[in-house]
Amino acid sequence: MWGFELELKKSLRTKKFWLILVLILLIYAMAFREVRDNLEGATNPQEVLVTSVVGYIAVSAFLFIGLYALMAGATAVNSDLEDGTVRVSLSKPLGRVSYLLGKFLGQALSIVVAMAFATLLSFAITKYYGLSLTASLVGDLVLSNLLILLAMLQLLALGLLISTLIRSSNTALGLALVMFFVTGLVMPQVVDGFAEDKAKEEFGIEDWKDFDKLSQGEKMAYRERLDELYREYHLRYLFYAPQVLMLDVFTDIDRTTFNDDGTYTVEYIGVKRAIADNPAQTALMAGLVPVYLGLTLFRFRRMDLR
Amino acid sequence: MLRVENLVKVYKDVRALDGLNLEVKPGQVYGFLGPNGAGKSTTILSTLGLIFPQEGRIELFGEEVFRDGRFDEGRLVKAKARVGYMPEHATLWDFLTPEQTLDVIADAFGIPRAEKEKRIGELLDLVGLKEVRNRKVGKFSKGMRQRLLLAQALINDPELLILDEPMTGLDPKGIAEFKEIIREQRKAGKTVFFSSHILAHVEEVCDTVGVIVKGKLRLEDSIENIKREFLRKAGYTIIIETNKPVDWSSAEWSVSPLDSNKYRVVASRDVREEIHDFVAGQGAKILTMQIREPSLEEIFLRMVD
Repeated sequence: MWGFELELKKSLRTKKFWLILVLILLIYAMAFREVRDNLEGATNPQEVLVTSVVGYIAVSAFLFIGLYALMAGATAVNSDLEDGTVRVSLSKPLGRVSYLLGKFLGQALSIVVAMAFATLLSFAITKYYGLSLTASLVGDLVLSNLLILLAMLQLLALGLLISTLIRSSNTALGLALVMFFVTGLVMPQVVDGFAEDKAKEEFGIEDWKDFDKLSQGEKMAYRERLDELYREYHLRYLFYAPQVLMLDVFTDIDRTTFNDDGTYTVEYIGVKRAIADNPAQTALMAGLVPVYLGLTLFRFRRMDLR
Repeated sequence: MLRVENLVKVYKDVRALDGLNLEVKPGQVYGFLGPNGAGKSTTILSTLGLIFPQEGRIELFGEEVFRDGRFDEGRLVKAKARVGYMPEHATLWDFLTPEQTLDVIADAFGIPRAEKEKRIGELLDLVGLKEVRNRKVGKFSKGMRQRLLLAQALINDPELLILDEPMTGLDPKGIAEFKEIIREQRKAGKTVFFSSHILAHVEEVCDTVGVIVKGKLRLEDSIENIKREFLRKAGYTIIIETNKPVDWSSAEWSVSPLDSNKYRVVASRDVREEIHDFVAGQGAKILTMQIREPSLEEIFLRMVD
C-alpha cells in the first residue's frame, strides 16, 4: 500500500513522537521505584509486579500514547493539504481510499512502536530493580497491549476524522487536545459524580456521617454497587472515550484484599478474564474504529483538496 | 488529450468555474492564462480529481473520467498513470532527500527498481539537483523545491504534463532552464498544459493560449492568430519619423504627434505603403517607420478589463 512506509517514517520523525517516548521514560523511571517499594509489604510480590507493570503501561497509553494518537490523527490530512503533499500524492495513480488507509496504517504502526517501547522499557526497569519476569507477565502484557492498541486506534481514527473536518491543522490540534482532556479527564469526573449520587441515593446516604453508620457488609455492598454504576455510566455517557473504557477493563485484572496484620494480598485475575468480564467495553473499543474510519473515508472521498 | 465541457464549480457563493470549455490536443503546449482567482488552479485540480465540480464533463486520453458531479475512480486512476502534475505551492516531504522523494513517487507508478534508479539519476541531472541529491528537501530554497516538483512530475515520462504556475519563485537562470525543459518536452511529442499569469513565459514556450476570466474561457487560439485578431479589432499602431513636418489633416487615419516630426498613426489595417505615399506627396521623407505589435500582456489586460 503506497504511502504506508512514508507515513511511518514521517510519524517516527515528529518531535511529538520523541517527546512522548521521553515522557514515558521519565514517568517509568519514577513509577517503578515506587513499585519496588510497594512490593515490600505484599505477600505475593510477583502478582503485585504483574498488575503494576500492566497498570503502568495502561496509564502511559491513557496519558501519552493516546494523546499522541489523537494529535497525530488530527493533523494527518489537513497538514498534507497545507503543505500541498496531498495534491502531489493524489495526482499519481492512487485512489483516495488507498491513500487514507496508507496514512492510517503508517500512523498505527508508529503507535505500535511507542507501545513496544513502553513494554520493553517496563521489562528493562523490572530487571534493573532485580525482579523476575515470568511467562504470565509477558503473556498478559501482549494481551494488554492488544487491548490498548484497540483504544489507541480508535483515538487515531477519531483524529483522522477531525483532520478531514477541520482544514487548519493548528485548530484541529487544539480541538484534539481539548477533546482529549475533556473526554479523558473532566467528563469522567462529572460522570463518576453522577454514579456516586445514584449509589448514595440507593443506600440512603445523605452525607459521610451516614456512610460511617453502615455495617462492614453494607460498606462492601456500597463499594461493589458504586463500581457497577461507574461502569454502567461510563458505557452510557463515555462510550466515545476509549481510554476510560480501557481503564475500566484493566481495573478488573486484580483484586486487592487488606489483611489484619497490615499486609495486603493481590489476587491476580488476569487480562483475559478482565476482557471477558467487560465485553461491552471491548466491543465498543473495537467497534468504533471502523465507524470512525468509515466516516473519515466518506468525508475524504468527497473533499475538495485545494 | 484533455477535454473539459461546461464545467461548473461553485465555492459557497463564488462561481469559480462557470461553464468552462477547453480542449488540449496531443502535442500542444497550451498556455492557460488568467488573472489571480480566474479559475486556473480549480480547472487543473478538477481534471486530476482533486476537486469535485458540480456539473460538466472531463475527458482524459479520450476516456470520460467525470460527468455531472461524479468521478469514475477506476478510469481516473488509469488516466493519472499517464499524467505528470506539478502543483503550485507544494513543499514535498522535508525529511526526504530529492533522491528519496523521487523514489517514493516512482513507487506510486510501480516503476521497476532498475528503471527507477536510471530515471531518478537522469531527472536530477535534468533539473540541476544532482549535486544536492543527498541533502534534505527541508534545507532547499524555493527555487530548488520548484525544480524537484518538476522532476517528480516527469518521473513517469508522462504523455500529458500539467504545470500550475511552474516558474513562480525561480531565478532568471531557473526560468530559462524551465522553458528549455518544456521545449524539450514539445520536441519529444509530449503535451503540456501550463497555467501562468506571467505572459512572457507563456508567449515564449506555448503554441496555443487559452484565457480564462471569471471561470469562463474568453479566448482560445494560437498566439499568432490572437495577435492578428487583436490588431484587426484594436487597430495597427505605426510610429513614423519624418525629415520635416507633415500636414495630416487630409489623411484617412487617426494621427497624433509624439515629438517634433514624430507621429503615431492608428489604422484598421497595415497601411505602411499608403503612409509612405502620403508623406512623399508632401515632399517629405520617412526616416524611420515601425509597426508596433501588441504584446500578449497588452491583449490580456484589455480582455481582463
